[in-house]
Amino acid sequence: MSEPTMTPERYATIAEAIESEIGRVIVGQRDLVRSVVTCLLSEGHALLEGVPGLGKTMLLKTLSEVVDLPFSRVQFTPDLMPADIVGTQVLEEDADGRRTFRFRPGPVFASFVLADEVNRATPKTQSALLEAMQERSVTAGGATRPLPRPFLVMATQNPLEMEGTYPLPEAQLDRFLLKAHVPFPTADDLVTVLERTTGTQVEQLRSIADAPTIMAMIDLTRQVPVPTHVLRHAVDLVIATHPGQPGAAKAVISYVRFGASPRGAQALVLSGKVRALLDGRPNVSIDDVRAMAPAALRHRLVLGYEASADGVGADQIIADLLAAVPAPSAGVRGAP
Amino acid sequence: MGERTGALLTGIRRRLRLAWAAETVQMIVPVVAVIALLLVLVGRWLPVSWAEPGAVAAPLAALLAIIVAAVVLRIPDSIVARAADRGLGTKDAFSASLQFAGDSGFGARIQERADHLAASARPVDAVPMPVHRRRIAIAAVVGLAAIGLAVIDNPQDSARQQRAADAAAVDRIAADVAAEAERLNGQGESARSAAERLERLAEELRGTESLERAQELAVAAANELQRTISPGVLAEKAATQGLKRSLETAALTPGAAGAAADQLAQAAEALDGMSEADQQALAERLEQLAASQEAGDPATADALAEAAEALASGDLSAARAALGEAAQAAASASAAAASQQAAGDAAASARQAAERAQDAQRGQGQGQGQGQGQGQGQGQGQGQGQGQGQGGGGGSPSGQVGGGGGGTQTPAPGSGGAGTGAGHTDGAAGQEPDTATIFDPVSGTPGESGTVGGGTDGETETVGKGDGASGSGSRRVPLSEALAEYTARATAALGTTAVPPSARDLVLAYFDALQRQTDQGDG
Repeated sequence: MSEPTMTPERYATIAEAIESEIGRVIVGQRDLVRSVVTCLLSEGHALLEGVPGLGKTMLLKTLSEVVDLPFSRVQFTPDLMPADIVGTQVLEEDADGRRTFRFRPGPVFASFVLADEVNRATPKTQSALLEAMQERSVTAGGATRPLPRPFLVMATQNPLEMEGTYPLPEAQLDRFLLKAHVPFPTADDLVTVLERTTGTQVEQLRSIADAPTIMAMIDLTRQVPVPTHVLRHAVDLVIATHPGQPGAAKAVISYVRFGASPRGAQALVLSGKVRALLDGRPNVSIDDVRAMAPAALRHRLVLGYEASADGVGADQIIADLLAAVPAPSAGVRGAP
Repeated sequence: MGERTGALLTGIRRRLRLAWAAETVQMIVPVVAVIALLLVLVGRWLPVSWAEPGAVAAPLAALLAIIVAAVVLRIPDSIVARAADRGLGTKDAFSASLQFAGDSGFGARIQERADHLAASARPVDAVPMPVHRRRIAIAAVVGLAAIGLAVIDNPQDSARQQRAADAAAVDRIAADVAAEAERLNGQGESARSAAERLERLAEELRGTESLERAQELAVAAANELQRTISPGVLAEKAATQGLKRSLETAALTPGAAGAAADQLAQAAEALDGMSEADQQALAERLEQLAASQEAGDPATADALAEAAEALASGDLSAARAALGEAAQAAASASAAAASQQAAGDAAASARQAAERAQDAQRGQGQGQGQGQGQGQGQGQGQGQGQGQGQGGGGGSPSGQVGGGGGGTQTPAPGSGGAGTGAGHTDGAAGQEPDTATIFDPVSGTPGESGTVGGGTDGETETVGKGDGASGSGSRRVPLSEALAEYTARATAALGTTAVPPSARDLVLAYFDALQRQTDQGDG
């Protein structure tokens, strides 16, 4: 199935086919699907936030089927141990009666890992997963074992039941390329969901791509050139999230305690590259960067209590930020 | 960069220049309109000549500057490409095509896409002309107000015309002063200083347009020149000129010619060849001349008296030496008199300039034919007597002033004599200076009432008329009342040596004519 070379046209075709195939199962949620595919093709991880029952698990499971890659799901609970995620050494006895330790890989050794309600596990367990996400390898029993590629972790958080949870620290949130909201479906979409899930018919999904194809697409993503002024604009956006910086938006000054890290700028550019290729363009534009700003920056802003008190969320602050840092003009009076 | 992309960017660069110019014009047009309005208001408030031209020049200059700036404005390719991307919504296709022009792989695809987009794009779509209706409306309202105010009658117009007329009058005065300076320059070294001061005055006058300032400058120059004139200048001049005239009329020795100093020197040389009777006659003549020079030129008078005495005593060598001294003294006095004369002329010219400036300020002298007489008398005579100089200036017929004679009395011991005057008029009619005439107070110039010592409002300079009061001012005595006394004094003077023999007939004829005319007038 894999092809020796990946072209932007084929990239866009495959990605569109993946999204289309996922759409056969996941009703609506196009932005969510696009965010997850973007994370996949830029080799990042996605943090999803939404109430239970909106199809998050189904989304990742469907994606694994479409791209024909292994999928695992971990339901995070307070008693979940790191070994339950990364794996552990187990003592085995062979036919000769010799006992040896053998590493039994945990669920993290899958291309797609759904960390469901990741904020319910203890920080120690969360750290084990997040370290694997960052390093793309697991060290257990004195041996470092690489994780498969592609490797996509999709973590979910339930925003409603926060009691007894361990909210992810900012440093660990920063490991996620994008944070996507999982909105409640519209009435029409919900009707369609009911039609599809309450009958006997089961959608038979086609496998659109395989691991080599996905890896070729990831490589191509990295090759997309980014004009200097686009990079500069990404940096300007990230810098503007810091309340201490000159020219910061009023909302940033009022509600943000800490702004986005350089990973935020990386996320803007990488996700912008995917967006450009999915749009059939061979270069990243200012619009790509600005379009990806909410998803790439919303979990990287550390808001103060004033934001909670005023009911101001990260998305609103980012909207103000985008207004405060407009797309650069041509620089000539009278020009657009 | 592809051909289509290049062509598109070239067109967009042109549009950017236009857009820049349009935006800049609309940005500054309200300010320029306000400036123009202010200039027009200034023009209505102050009598300045640059206000309305400035109101027109300000927008034109601004427009010209913007056009030039738009032409020379440097617009890099990256700016043009970004403008194209933003204007056409091509998502940085042209910017990327510029930056990654030489890259393989994606670079080629970027070029291809940019060319594809350029094929269907127009510069006018990429860079629409900016229009700021509010600014334009403000500028239109203010500009129309400025134009309206500029078109309607301006109360300062008359003041501006007056200012222009003043400037022209000052120019004319300066020209006349310069002409006088040139004339003095032609008189030789003795008049050089006075001529230079007048040239400087002319230059100062050319540098001002204000009549008031011109008057100040002229008065200052006149005062400065006047200070160089010694108080006894008239007596010195009368003495010098009297000696000259006397010797011109009757040579000191037979065959002698030239100036007084020359004749004295020639007489010294000729002493040895003279008979005793001639020597005695020469002694008497020298004595008479010494008497005539006593008041104005004591040095010459002393030398002449010494020579006369030596001759009378038969001491020819002493007489020769005294005549040599007299010649030197006469030459020195003649040079000093010429210098003083030049200074006096220059001072008179400066005063005249000041008066013309003053008259012009009063609105007089413009087309009214008003003249100002300047008389210059030359008299000769000996002994004590009456001197009367006359300044004849021909004004226009309507002018009361200008033809007036400045009759003066000279009860002082100064010498005097019937003078001949020369004057000129500065009236707007531009009449040429009158030729020298002997003033006839009875049938004199039109407008003259025939009074002595009055009849002129202008300043009349009299030279060679002694130290009497000038004829200007309020002294106006009817001729019939003064004539008898004048005649008596003149007759008495004829009996002395104050009046040279050659002039006695003229004096008598003068007073006879006065008497006849007075009798006829009474009759």
